[in-house]
Amino acid sequence: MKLFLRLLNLKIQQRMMYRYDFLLGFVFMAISFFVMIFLWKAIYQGREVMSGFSFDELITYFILMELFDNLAPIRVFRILKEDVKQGFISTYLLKPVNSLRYYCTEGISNSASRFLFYLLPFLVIYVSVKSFIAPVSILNLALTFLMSIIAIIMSILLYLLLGCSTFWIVENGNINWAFNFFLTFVAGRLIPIQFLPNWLSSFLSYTPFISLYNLPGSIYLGKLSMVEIGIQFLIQGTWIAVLTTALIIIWNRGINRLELVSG
Amino acid sequence: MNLKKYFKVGARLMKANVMTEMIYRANFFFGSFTTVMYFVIQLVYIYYLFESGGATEIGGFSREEVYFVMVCHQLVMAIFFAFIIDNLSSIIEKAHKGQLDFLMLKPIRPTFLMFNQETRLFGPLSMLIYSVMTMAALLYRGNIIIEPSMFWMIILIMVLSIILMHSLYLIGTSVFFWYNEFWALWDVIHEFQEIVKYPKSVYPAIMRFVLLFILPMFNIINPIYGILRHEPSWGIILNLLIVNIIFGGIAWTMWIYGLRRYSSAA
Repeated sequence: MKLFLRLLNLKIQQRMMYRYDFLLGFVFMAISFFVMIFLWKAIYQGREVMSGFSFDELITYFILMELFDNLAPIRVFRILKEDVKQGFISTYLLKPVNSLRYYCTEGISNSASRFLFYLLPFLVIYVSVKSFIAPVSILNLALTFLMSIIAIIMSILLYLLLGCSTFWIVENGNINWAFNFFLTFVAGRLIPIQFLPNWLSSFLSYTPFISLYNLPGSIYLGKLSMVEIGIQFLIQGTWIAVLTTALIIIWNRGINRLELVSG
Repeated sequence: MNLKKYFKVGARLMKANVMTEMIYRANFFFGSFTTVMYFVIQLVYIYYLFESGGATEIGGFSREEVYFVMVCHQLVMAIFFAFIIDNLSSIIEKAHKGQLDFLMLKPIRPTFLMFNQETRLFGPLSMLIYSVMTMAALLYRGNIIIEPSMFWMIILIMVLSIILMHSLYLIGTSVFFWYNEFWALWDVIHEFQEIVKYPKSVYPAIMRFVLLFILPMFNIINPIYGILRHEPSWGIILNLLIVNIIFGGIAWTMWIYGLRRYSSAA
């Protein structure tokens, strides 16, 4: 917890340093978001519901996706990659801290600082977009929050697993790029998975990816029954256990084959 | 230094980049895989955009026409990824680390050297192949009819789109000579790439105005919709030329002044 708070403090300071870049970036992001609304408006013309989503529900879904996007600790991949390539990882290997735990905490603090920074602008969007709808119930809101925590843990595990490839492959930037594209589609960031054919959406519901975007959004909008939500928590919990085990094994193997050259 | 020597230096730099790409085979493999995946996801996205609501058109254009513009956009992006984007991002990185000195002290124009440092051929090449194949399939199936005069106009729009994109990213790059960390402009150009693929008629007038004249994203590839609708091509091209001259001028001025501001970290 102490490490987390220290890192969180550092991240907030870093963000404050480049606050104008952040603010302008947010304004531009908001413009591109509003532009997307108009595209969907053109598609919804004369239609009340599409694949179980009303226009207002879809807009709410995409606003939530923007928020969840900030929770994904994509940077942890880049940090690990650079640390391995440049040998900075040795700093953590020599210190009395668990290096893997350090990177996990780094990812969580990064997500938390981004979330804190984006929360206020998010509330501005919430107020300005009339289409935004409230959660179906308090319970659904609480479950969305719980699923968001699972989303953070899951994405840290996935990005660290990807980052471990640096121990074997020196240049792996394209792996991250490929994964991000893949994720936007299979996790429901680009389009809700409910819009995809049944066979594909039911297959994706057993993968860890949908916990990152689609599940929190769907729970918030009441698109899943309580039984389905329970099953999803079970599936995602199992995935966390599997991925954590895999990460520990791969991490240890990677560390064993790590060779650092320094002056 | 004469033109022949510039070609020679350019070719050597390209050769070195190709060899570097081949060293990192796994990365190269994932790069090619990503371009295929990106392309397929784009197609699938447009498919479900129409399919999920049973829409036959968006903003007055059919699914095939939207596919066609998307493929043209991919072709432009392939060239952009191959020759431009990495060079510009490498300039930012080198400026941060004070490494531009090495390029500025060589007996060749620094701008030439900076704009030709990085070339990424294989990923964009696969993007190019898939785009051409999809375009051929669309034309072969007769979903879209392109007359010869339209064809040349489309090529011209694509060329002007690349130049405009280069100018916009160059503005975004030059800003770094004044502000250490300013990715906002890069981010917005990147974000708006998604928007230009769809007909601008779906967006409100104020947004169209902003994206045509202030941040001229709708001048990238989007004018092809006008060609498909048989709008007067001279008007489209004239507008594109004016926007290119204005933003090219701004980009070049900022670049020149930015380079003068650069101070070595050594």
